[in-house]
Amino acid sequence: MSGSNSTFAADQTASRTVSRSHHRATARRLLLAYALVAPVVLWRLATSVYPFGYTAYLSFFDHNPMRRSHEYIGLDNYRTMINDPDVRNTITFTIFFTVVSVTLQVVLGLGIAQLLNQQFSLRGFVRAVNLLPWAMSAIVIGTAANWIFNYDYGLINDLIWRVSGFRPLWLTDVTNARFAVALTDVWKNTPLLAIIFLGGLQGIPAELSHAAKIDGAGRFRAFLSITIPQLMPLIISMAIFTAVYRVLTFDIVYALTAGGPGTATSLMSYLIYLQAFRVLNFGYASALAMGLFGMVLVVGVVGFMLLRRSWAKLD
Amino acid sequence: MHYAAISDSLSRPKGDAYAYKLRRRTISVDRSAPTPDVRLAGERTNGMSKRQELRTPRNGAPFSRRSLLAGAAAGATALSLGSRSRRVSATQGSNGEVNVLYLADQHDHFKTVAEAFTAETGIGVKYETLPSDYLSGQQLLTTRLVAGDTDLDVFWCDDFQSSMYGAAGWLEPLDPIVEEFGIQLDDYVPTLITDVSTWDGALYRLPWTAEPELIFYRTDYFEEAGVELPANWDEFVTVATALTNGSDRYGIGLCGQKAGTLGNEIQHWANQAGGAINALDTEGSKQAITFYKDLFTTHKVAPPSTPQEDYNTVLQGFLDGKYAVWWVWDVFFAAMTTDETFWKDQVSVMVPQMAGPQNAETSIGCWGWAINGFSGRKDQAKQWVEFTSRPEIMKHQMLRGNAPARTSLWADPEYQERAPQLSFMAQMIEGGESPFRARPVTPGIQEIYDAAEQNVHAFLTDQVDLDTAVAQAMEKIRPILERYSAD
Amino acid sequence: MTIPKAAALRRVSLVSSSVLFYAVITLFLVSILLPLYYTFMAAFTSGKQVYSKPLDYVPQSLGLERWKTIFDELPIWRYLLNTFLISSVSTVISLLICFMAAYSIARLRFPGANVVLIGLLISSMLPWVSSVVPLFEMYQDLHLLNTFQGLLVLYVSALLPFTTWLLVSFIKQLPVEIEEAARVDGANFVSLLWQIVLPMIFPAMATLFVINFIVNWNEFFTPLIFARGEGTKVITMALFDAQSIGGASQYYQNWGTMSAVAIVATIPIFAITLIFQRRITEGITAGAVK
Repeated sequence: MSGSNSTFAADQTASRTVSRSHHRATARRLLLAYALVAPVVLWRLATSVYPFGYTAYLSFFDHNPMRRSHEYIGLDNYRTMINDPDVRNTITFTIFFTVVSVTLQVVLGLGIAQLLNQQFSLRGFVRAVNLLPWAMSAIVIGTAANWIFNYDYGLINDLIWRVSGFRPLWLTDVTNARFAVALTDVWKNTPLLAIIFLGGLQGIPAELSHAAKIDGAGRFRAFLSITIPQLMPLIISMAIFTAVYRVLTFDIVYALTAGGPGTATSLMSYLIYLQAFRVLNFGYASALAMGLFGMVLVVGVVGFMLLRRSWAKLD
Repeated sequence: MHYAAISDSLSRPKGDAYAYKLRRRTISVDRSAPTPDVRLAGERTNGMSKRQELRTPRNGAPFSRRSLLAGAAAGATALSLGSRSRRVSATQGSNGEVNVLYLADQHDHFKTVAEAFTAETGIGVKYETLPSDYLSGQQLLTTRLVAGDTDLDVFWCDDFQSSMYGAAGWLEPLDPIVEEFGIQLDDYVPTLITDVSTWDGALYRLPWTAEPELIFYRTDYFEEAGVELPANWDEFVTVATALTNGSDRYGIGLCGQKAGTLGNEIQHWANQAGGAINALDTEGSKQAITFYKDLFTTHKVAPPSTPQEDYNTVLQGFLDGKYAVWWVWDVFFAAMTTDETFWKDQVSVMVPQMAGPQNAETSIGCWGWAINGFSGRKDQAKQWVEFTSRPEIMKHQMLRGNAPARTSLWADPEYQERAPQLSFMAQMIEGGESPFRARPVTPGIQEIYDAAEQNVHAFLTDQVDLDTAVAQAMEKIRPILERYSAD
Repeated sequence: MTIPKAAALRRVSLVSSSVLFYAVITLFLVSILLPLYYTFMAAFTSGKQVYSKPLDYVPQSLGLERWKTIFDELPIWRYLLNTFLISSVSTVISLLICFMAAYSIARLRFPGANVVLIGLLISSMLPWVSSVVPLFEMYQDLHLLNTFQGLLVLYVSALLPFTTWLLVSFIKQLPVEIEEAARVDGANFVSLLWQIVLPMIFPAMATLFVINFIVNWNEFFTPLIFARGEGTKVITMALFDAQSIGGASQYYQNWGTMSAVAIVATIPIFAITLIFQRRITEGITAGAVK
């Protein structure tokens, strides 16, 4: 700010000229910005607006072709959902499974990424192998996992038996089954996080990673205080998507335990499938989907706020 | 009027028209017309539901003729793929086309049927394979049917689906075809027609297979242990204990995993005690469930991993020589005895079957052909259903290892080699007394199965006691039974 | 210092030569390869009995009849070709439009950027089973069923939220100074994106290419419901068909055959990953800041 008053008028004119061209530049920038996001936005809208609207709409109806019913019942579906013992049975496990699986995947993923970032021979091969569990089709892994945890013919019991002569029952015991399900899920999906974090590690600016090249105990602290904050946006993004995916899918879990023993590993997403495709109760299934949506929405919004904070820390 | 005659022969006391009373609405279905029109009172046409009215062309209408170009295109496609694959994907004909959704072809038996069909009727067969994974197949069918897909004509339909989709009004009633072509329904296993292919008086599916659950056993193990076939449950425990040898050989293989297998097991055991899967609180059912659990916990004639064993793993075990007895669908028996790597002489079927406290029955189910009510090619579809119902065509089931739905074919020695279970099944229905009992299928059967399995499984894995499990299951099952009981 | 040498120095760590390190790597490899070996082992047994107790880790035979059967019965090459085509095209389209959108959101700070991000995330929060029927009906009306385009639209759409989010995070990681420097040097927008930002973000793009490709390759329910026609058969459908080859029925699966097809389906993926993993670490480093 200049202290002289005599140039004030000149300043005013100058600033007005600057601001007009600035406006034009801003307008052009905005137009460009919108044009760049348009393809993604439009494409995504095209395939999600109708399903969302349809599901939300249907959730207020009792729509069941088997009973030949299609009528408006307001919030009745939601009331049923809250009182449904099946829903209550599954909600605890859904949350438990999501939290445990996401945490393990993030921690292991970071570790593996760090491992794969080191220089060693056969690194390329190991990186490709790392991705294999995730790269295989879910139906194959689901069936394979079923065999792997088999009492007599499973890989795990065979190894345990060779060492201890004992064969544990994996899928008939509540705790064991939950463990098996979580283990399979982590085994299958951690590679994805590992490879993303590996990509992220490449993007860490040189001067920061030089600082991480400290000997001894300092390295781990450097990892925590330098590398992690740099990777934080990626970590949070991946955590959100991984959590959402956990809540919404059931194929691997179902292939392994069919939701058993009893209902110990039943997921809410399976209830939706059951109500929609096996019972044809489309109205209720839609309400369940909306309920599930509400749950993950919370995760998403909270995650997004954390993400913005981590971006701010980067700048 | 003639419809009443058909319904009499099916021993269903129904009139010509009846009304369902639902919770808040009444709809009426007039079935006195040969081709019923089903109209839903107040059906919404707001674009949400793509339901078309079920309409069938009058009998005798000419087939719609496809252009030669379409036929050539289909042929070209078939050729380009045929050069790489033996699987039939289409046969081309000049009289139109029919889309058939069926399992992956075994031993070319479907190819033979399709080619014979095209040769006789000139209708091309467009063959789509049904995923062998039941869940995915269910998803595929439900999606296409609920959306009123006109491209789906005939599909391979099981017991549960025929009542479910039939009740939803998505299937074309087959009674007119039976009547028009004079299909001898009394040649079929009666319970398969009346109990699992018909819903509310209309026949929705024509069975093509007859699949009973048979108790088969290792003859060599029985000889080795020096035991005879058990006549009842108590004898069975003794026999099985003699056959069990530590953890290498068990008396019986039990499939206690959820997702369908446990439900079937509950049903066949409970039925022998006078209960059923939808009546778990009866003494018979409770006795059967307790007995089932005792087999692998108290008597230890089945492995402790029973609650996680399904058909695949027990099959593997049986091939490995782990089990002496297995009470399961007949097709497994055929798979074992007709394949060179298995044993022809070491496996046999218990006839007569061992009896429970009330009877010596066993479950029977079937798969068959159903016509999509929204199909755009109903005439061709009807021809297919009629064609496949012929005895000489049905025989091709045996190539696949399945028993055909027509009982007159069971005694044919020439085909018993291909489907060895036929000789035993023929024995079982000798003298008119049939031990075959269909599962208690209603449109709500899937829900019932899930509720029963969930709770019984929790009992089997020591999470709850029997009374709690049964009570919780029946709490879910009772409203379903009320909802779908025939008026 | 030349850039490659700086990069090399950056990555060398004392720990890479220690015994502990190699032990961990070995443990890691075993934990992945052993279950996979077990899975694929089933493809090499003969007959229906795939396992024995105790486990026989060395297959007794090569099970060649089974391989012959699957290649005979199924048009595997056609499946692979179709899958390769659709996966590559979807991936390229997806990366292109997501890169544009991500740059816009990350750098061009326009009102509604956050809305777009959250909106994308929300759009992926509806379970698949709920979207199937409405999408199917939509496709019926638009005559997109059993078409390559129809499948393409769904394939691309599925990955848009994930890819955009990640690219936004990756781009935000880049130091702004480089772009500003380029601007000062007079670079126009297209060359800015194409010649400056894209090379810097190459590891991320390579990673996302592999991920998108693999996800598309393994897509299973989408082609099952929306495109089962001859022209759009993908390799995951072969897995289904394979389950029932060789005397199976609705009641049991032929795990040996399915495992064999799984091997065939996985080899291309493994090859692609191997090729691309080097790209993940190559790329002009940020040491080019003046």
